[in-house]
Amino acid sequence: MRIEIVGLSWFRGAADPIALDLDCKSIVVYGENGSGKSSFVDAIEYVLRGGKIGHLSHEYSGKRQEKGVINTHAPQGSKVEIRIGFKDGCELKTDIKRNGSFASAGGGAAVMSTWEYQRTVLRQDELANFIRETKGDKYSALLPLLGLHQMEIAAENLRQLAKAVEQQTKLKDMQASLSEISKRRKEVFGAATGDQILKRIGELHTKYCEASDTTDPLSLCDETETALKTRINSFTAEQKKHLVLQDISRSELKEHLKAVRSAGLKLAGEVEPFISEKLEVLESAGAFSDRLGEEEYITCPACGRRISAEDFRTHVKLEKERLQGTIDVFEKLKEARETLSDTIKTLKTNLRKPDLRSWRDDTANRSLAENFTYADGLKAEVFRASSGENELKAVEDNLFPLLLAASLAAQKGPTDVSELSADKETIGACKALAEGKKLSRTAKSVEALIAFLSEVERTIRNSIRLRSQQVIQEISEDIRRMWSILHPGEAIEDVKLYLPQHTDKAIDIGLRFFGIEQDSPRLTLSEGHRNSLGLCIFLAMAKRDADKDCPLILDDVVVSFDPSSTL
Amino acid sequence: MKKATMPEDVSWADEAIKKAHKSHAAVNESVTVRLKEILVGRQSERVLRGSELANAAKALITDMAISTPKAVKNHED
Repeated sequence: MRIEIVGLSWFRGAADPIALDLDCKSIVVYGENGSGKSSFVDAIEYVLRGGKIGHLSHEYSGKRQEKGVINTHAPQGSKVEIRIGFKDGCELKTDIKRNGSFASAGGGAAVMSTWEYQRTVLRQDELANFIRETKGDKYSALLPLLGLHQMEIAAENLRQLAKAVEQQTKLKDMQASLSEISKRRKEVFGAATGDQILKRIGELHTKYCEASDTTDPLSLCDETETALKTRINSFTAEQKKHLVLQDISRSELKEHLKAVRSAGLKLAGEVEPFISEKLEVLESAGAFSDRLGEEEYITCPACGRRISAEDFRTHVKLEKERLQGTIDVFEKLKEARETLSDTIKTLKTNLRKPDLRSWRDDTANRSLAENFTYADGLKAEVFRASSGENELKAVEDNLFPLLLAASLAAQKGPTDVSELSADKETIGACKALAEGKKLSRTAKSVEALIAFLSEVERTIRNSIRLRSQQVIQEISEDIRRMWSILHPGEAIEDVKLYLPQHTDKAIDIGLRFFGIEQDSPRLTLSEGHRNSLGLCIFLAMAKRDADKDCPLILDDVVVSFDPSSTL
Repeated sequence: MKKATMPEDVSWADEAIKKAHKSHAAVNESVTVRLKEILVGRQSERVLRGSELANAAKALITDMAISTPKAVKNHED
């Protein structure tokens, strides 16, 4: 749809209402520097980009760019307005309020809603910027123009969804629990088969419970556990004492302390506070990044600098990926500390049980009084947050002798108590196995969902690559032809867009310079040549959509071309 | 200005979902239907973030009939 007229009132350089009458023709606008030519392009950009102008995206133009968009001499009460009229008589009218908010109306809105800014408008700085951009940025800039933007968003959403599913289902915790259950199975049942374990559950149920119709393994375990509790309640004080001693002697404090030491070694002590702080900042930055709306520029919560929201998101993402190894080790240490803290808490609870009072008094009187005092004063929760070597050594020196004493005493316990204690441990392990089966089914479903999402993402990324390759080959033909018109007989040939190997989300520009392949125009081309190359790419893209009935607006794009260019 | 909705060929989404479903048959119909809606429906215009992402993931988990139990702990308090 051709543009008939563009009218401005107190918008950018338009100090008075002014109109550029195109009369539906292709035109060239020229004039003195600062006379306001670019204000008309700004108006088109403002409408196409939903109230934003790229070169005004900085901290001085205000939240809604109101300080840059509204003419600085606009009198109070004056109307700030853009009017764009089209060949078929329809019009788009955009009113801008003093606070920068705006509203558009008119049939022209439907016409312009089909125009893609990057395919419609090309401005001088955008040429240089495009060539200077990284291959990742080029990919982001070109993708919408290749018509593959929706696929790229879909692929990114799939990646994020897979991560979110993993986090929400706590898959890693489930996998850690399953690995613990499998370890316990080996400890308690050795190489016994599933059938042998089921048989053992049946035997224990028969031993402690009355005959019932229950067949479900988990229910059998529950019933046996209840029967064991009833029996324990009827124990004498001496029997109860030995039962607690058996529990203490089975404490895995040594293994868990070793695990904390081993994980701690991986994170060298002096680096830990720094990493911890860095991860905290990253965590907050990630949360902040997730909450960001449509803002283009934000103040970085870490350094206070004003930066583009997209750059901030990319930075947080890259930092997270870079630190992933450290995050994993850090998580492992956190997990080991939590387990140690739980084990110490359980041990403390057992040591304080009234059933154990007589043994405790005897043992304390002999030699372990200080160890009991240490155990009583120990704050298990502290180990969740930190655990230096001194603290671990103190646990070792004070609690290990208590464990040893309890184990020795437990060995002297009555046979019926030892047997019941062993059965209680076995039924506990059986129950964990039965629950583990359910957990394993859940984990498998989660893994299947994540694998499914990842495969859909992989397939879409392959399609993007194949389609991009096809489209950029076609575009490259036109780029080469335009280049040879602008630079006939020059030693720069075979200019093309290409997808770098082994990298997702990347597009770059290649060429041959005096017969030698170059991976980037930045290696050999002058600024002027780079700008004309940028123009070739833009026009080749525009040509691809020539049937879309959308105008081309070039703003000062030839200002820094090399004088030899045939323009 | 709100972009006009252009009729687009979204067969790529169908094909990718169909292909992945062949090797992951455990994934049920509700998941594939919802996923297609996420990929090409009204949420497909932008990268999902924050609560929008969390809700979409939650819906997929529910569709897959996954309950999220607490991880089994091997310790008593």
